[in-house]
Amino acid sequence: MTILIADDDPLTLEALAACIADEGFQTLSAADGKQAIDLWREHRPQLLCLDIMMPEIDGFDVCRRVRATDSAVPILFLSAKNEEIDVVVGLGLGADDFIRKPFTRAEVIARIRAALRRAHPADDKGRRFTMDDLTVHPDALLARREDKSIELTRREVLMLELLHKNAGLPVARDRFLDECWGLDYFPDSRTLDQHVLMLRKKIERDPANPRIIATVRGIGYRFEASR
Amino acid sequence: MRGIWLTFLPLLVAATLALWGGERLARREVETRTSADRERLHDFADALRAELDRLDDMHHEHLARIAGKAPFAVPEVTAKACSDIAGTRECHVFQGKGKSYAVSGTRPPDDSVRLPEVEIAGGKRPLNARRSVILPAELLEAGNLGASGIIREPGGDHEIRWFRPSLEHLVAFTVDPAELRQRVDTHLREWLAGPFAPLRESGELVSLTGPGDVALVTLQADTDAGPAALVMPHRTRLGEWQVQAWDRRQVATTHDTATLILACGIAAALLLLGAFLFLQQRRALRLAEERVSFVNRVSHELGSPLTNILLNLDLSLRSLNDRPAETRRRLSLVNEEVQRLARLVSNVLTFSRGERKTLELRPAACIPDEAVEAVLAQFQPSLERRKVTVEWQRGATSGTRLDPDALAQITGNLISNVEKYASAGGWLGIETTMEDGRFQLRVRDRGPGIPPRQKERIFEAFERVHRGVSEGSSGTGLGLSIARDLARRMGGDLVLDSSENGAVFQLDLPAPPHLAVVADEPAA
Repeated sequence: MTILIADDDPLTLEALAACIADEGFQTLSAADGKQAIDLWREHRPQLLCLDIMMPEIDGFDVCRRVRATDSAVPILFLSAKNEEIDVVVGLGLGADDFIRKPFTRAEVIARIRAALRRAHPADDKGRRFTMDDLTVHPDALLARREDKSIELTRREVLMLELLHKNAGLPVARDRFLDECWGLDYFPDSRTLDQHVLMLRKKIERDPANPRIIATVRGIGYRFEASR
Repeated sequence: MRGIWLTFLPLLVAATLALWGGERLARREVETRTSADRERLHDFADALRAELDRLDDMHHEHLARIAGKAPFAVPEVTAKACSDIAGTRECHVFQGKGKSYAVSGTRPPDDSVRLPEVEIAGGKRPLNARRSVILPAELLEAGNLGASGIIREPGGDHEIRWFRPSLEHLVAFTVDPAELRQRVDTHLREWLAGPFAPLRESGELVSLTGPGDVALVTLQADTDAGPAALVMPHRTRLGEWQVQAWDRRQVATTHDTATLILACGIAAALLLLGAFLFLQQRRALRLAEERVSFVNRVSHELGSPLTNILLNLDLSLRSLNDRPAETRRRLSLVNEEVQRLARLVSNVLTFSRGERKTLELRPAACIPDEAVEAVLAQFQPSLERRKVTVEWQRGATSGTRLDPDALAQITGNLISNVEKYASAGGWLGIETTMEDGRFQLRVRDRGPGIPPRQKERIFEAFERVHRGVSEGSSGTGLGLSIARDLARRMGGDLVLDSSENGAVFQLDLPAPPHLAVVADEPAA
């Protein structure tokens, strides 16, 4: 899942891209509106985060042009312009949300995930798979057990997808890192363990005795489909 | 905007009313009268009198002639003679106090007209005072022989004309004066055609009225002319005629200059007051808008660095254990953003102190190039990220005495402008010199430049060349204003030099040599 970020402040652009990538999303970075439109046409990302004040073509105009051809893709404005009129104009142009600067990483990630959930509702029509008594909706970044919804990060979804595809087989730690973090990323093994720990806390009924993500000593992790 | 018009419009209306009222007060109507041609008028009046007298005498003589013959004539002859004289209804012939006979003359126009009985006092017939005209018995006295007179019918329209033609006789004619005057009027209207023509031709304002105020001729063009200037009445037995003449009246309108000037002055004062209030209100409105806009811009300016600080701190924490180099990089970015915030806060505080007149400079011994270098070092990472090449010709390495913080703030604002607005040019040129006790700093860029018409306006607070959202750049609009203000407080100036490519700012400050400060060797 790819997210396009457009901001003329290189620091914001880089930090935001790092935060979003850390959640397992692919990112595209644009330093101005024209570049944003070019990247949008070329890659068709699943979500756009746009600054308003940008050289060449401003964020409002980018939103207007994207909406002319795609009415469904979620668009979020991230702007330091905090006057009400800017919010009204932005939402009036078809944006899905308006996040005022300064914002925290947690806030922007939550807003991005909420926008993606609205765009890809976790209904019966969507793509899904089952792990034990847990149903995972990858596009909505959600898992469901009975009536309870569990929010997942993009990376967590990738990890569960990898385990589900290899049900009954151990998945090596390197494979996890390659497929869920990317080949050009070099987290150490503690990073994976910490993520698995967090994921178990989210999806296991008893994280101390996991039923979905089992540890395979010396190799990695495994999902026992028959259990 | 409506509020402004609500202020100006009432004063505009008041000024209009003052002008209108002043004109009314200043207006003076001067009346001039041109006398009528009195001689011509008198000639006409004399002619009229003569004609009226002629008619009166003729009528009287006719009646006197009939009266003289009536006592001795047969009644039919008397009646025939009476019927030839206009308005003569009856003729009574008295012999002593007894009546000899009475005959009818002209017929009244209406059969319902009642003619009065004519009796003589002391006669044989009983007298009816209600229906009769009683002639006094004294008329028969010897002393009245040959006399004549007129007695009006009490409460009626007729008059009795009596004559004493002989010692024994009294003859009384019942005359209808209305018919008689009508005949006279008819005659006069024909007669007037001749004598009145000169007056008509000369345009005199004249009127001729007969008995009963019946207007025979009127040449009074101006009915508001007021009372007549000349009144010439003429009374006869037939009635009273009156010639009236008016002077020619002309009204000229002039204005009292003093009143008019006063009214114009009041109107002008009201308009000036309105314009003053209008401008004051507009200025206050603009200032209020600018301050609101300023607050918004400051909060906008805070937004980006704070976001960068928050995101980079979060990312630093995440990489703290396994990627310490990344953490260090992130923390240096945080440091950069904190310095950016510090510059913003410093600018706002300086502006605020300048507004409250509490801004003070603290001159100290310093080397200008060191101050510039420290500022440039703060911007270096940002300029590198934006691929801006920096060329610095150092020339101010000797010691002087000036406020190093103020110099740093000026330099920071000038470089910040290049970073924000001209980084697309990819070049920043700095030149420092120290000659003849003056320090000069020139900051050049190859950005879009500043339009000549905004050469001075950019130094005003809240003014920004780039305002639109598509300009991409933001700013509080204070940087250059503060920089020039500080430069002037330091006894120098900051100006925008003309340049064909990009912008060139030149700072010029007095910098007396200060030997106590020794410059470090410039980095190789």
